[in-house]
Amino acid sequence: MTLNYVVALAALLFMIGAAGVLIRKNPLIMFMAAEMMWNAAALAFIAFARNYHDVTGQVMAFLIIATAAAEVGIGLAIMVAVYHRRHRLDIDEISELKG
Amino acid sequence: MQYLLPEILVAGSALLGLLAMVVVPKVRGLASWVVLVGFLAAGVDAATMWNVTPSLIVYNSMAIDKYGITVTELVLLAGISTILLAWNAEHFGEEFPVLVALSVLGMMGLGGATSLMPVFLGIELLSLPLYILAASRHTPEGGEAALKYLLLGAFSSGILLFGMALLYGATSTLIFVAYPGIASHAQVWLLWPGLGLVVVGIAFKLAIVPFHMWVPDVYEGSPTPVTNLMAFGTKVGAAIILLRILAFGFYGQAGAWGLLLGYLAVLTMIVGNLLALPQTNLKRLLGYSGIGHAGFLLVGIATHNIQGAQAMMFYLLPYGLAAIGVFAVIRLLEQGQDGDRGVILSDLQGMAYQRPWLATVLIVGMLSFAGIPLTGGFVGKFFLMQAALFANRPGFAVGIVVGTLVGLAAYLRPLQAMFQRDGVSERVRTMRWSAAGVMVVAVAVVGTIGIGVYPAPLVHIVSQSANFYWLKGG
Amino acid sequence: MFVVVGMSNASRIMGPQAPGGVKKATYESGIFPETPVGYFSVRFYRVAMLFMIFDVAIMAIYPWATSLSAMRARGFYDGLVFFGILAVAFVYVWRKGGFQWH
Repeated sequence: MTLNYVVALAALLFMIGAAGVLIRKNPLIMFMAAEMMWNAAALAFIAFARNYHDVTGQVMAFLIIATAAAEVGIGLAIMVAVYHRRHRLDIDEISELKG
Repeated sequence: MQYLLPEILVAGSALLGLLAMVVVPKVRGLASWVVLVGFLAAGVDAATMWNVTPSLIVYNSMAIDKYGITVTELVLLAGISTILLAWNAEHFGEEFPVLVALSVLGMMGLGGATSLMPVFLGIELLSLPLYILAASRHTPEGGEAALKYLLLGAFSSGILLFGMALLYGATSTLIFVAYPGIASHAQVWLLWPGLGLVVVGIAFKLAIVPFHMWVPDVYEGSPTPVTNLMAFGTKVGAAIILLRILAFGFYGQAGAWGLLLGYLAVLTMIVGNLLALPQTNLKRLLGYSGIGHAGFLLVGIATHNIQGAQAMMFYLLPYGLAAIGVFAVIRLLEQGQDGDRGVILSDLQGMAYQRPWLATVLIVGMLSFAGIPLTGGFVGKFFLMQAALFANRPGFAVGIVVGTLVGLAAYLRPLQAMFQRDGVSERVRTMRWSAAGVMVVAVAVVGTIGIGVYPAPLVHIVSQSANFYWLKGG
Repeated sequence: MFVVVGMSNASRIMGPQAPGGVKKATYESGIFPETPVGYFSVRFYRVAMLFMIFDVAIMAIYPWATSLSAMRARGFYDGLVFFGILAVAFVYVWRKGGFQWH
C-alpha cells in the first residue's frame, strides 16, 4: 500500500516539475524544474525496486543522480556563458532566434 | 567483451585525445587525428563482426546483432563527417573532437540497447556533449541555441525517465526485450502511461511535430559541423531506439501505437515541410526539412511490419548522406567572408555559374531530400511507400506523397537562388575549398547517386539488419 | 485542500496584474540594483562544479567497495577502469589550470 503513496508522490513531483518548465520564464528555475522531474523518476524507481526486491531500480536511481550532476555542471556553465554575454537571463528576452 | 570493442575503441580515443591535448599541447589538432583514427578502427572492427551470431551480452542489456552494427557504421559516418567538417577549426575549441567522440559513443550504445538502462545512458551520453558543442560558437545565437537545447533536452529526458520508471513498475524489469512475455500479467495502468511518456521523450529527440519547436533555433545557432551531427547522428540514434523498443518490446500491442504514430508521422511530414517553405536561412530550412524527414522515418516505425523497419533503416543512409553534403556546402561557404553570419538564400546567388562543383553538391543533396529519381532519397521514399501499402495503410502513403510534394517546393528555392544570374554574392566569390571538405562532399555525392542508381547492396544490408526477430525465435 | 489551493491562487486570478518595473528588480536593501554588484565571482562557481562532478563519483565507489567481496577480481578491475577514466578527467582539469584560483 505504501508503494501507491510513494508513486503518487513521484507523479506529483513530476507534474510540478513539468508545470515549472512550462510556466516559468527564468532558465535557471526551468532547469531546476527539469531536474525535479528527473528526481521524481528516481524516486519512482526506488519505490518500485523496493516493492519488487530488485536491485536494478536502485542502480537506475544512482545513474540518474550521476547523470543529473553532469547535466547540472554543463547547464550552469552554459548559463554563466550566456549571462556574461548579455547580463540578463530571461527566456523571453532571449529572442534573437525566433522560435 | 570482445563484442564491445568498437565502443571501447571510440571511448578510448576520446580519453586519449583528452590526454594528448594536455600532455602535448604544442601539437595542434592531435586530438582530431586520435579521434578520427579511433572512429575508423571502430568502423573496421564493427564490420568484421557482421557475421557473428546474434546474442545478448552484459546481463541481457545489450544485443550484438546486425541491427546494432549497421547503426554503429551509420553514426561513425556522422562522426567522421563532423570531425572532417571542423578540421583545423580551432575557434570551436580544442575539445571539439573529444566531445564528438563521446556523443557518437552514446549513439553507438543506443544501437545495441535491449534494456532501458543503456537507452537512458545512451541518450544522455549523446545529448550532454551536444549541449557543449552547440555553445562552442561564441556568438549570442550560439549561447541561446545551447540554452534552448539544454532546457528542452533536460525536460524531454525527464519525461523519458519517468516513463521508464512506470514501465519498470509495470513489468519489474528494465530489459524491454522481455516485455512481450510479461505484458499479459503486467500492471496495465502503469504500462500504457509509461510507454506513452517514453515515446514522447524520444519524440522530442527525434523532433516529431508537436515536440519540434526547438529544432530550427538550435540548428541555426549551432556551429555547422555540430548541426551536421545533430541532423544525422541524433536522428539515427533516436529513430532506431524507438523502432527497437516498439518492435521488440511492444509488438503485441502494435495495433494501438501503430495508428497513433502514423497520424503523428503524417502530421510531421506535412507540417515540417510546410514550415520549411518560407525560410530564408539555409540552416533553418534544413532544420524544418529534418523535421519532415523525421516524419518519413516514423512512417517506417508506424507500419509495424518488417518492410517498414527495413524501409526506415534504408532511409537513414540517403538522408544522412544528403545532409552531410548540404552541411559541407554551408561549411565551405562559411569559410569565406564574414564566416559567423548564417548562410541565407541570397548568399547562394550565382553559385551555379561561379562554383559549378559546389553547386552540383547542393543540387544532388537537395534533390535527394526532395526524393527525385536517381538519388538515394527517391529509393528511400519508394520503400517507405511500399511498406505503408503492405501494411494496408493507404493514408500513410498519401501523407508521404503530400509531404514530398510540399518538400519539393521548399528544396527548389535554394536551387532557384543559386541559378539567379544577376551578380555573384560575396560569399560564393570568397569561399575556399579545403581537403577535408572535399572528402566529405565526395562521399556524400557518390553515395547519394550510388544508392539511387544501384540500391541492391544497401537493400541487402538492411534486409539482414532489420530482421531482428531472432530473439522471439529463441 | 481545494479551499487552500483556491485561496492561495485567488489573488493571482482576481488581483491587479502589473508585473514589471520595480517589482521585477532584485531587492537590495533599498539600493536600486542598477549594476550587478552582488554576484559571486565565476571562480566560486567553477570550484563548486568541479567539486560536485568529482564528488558524485563517491556514489559509484561506495556500492562498489561494499560489494567487492561478492564481485571478486573481475569487479575489482572494472572499478579500476572507472578510476582510470576519472583520473584522465582529473589530469585534464589539472593541466588546464582548473584547480588554480586565478
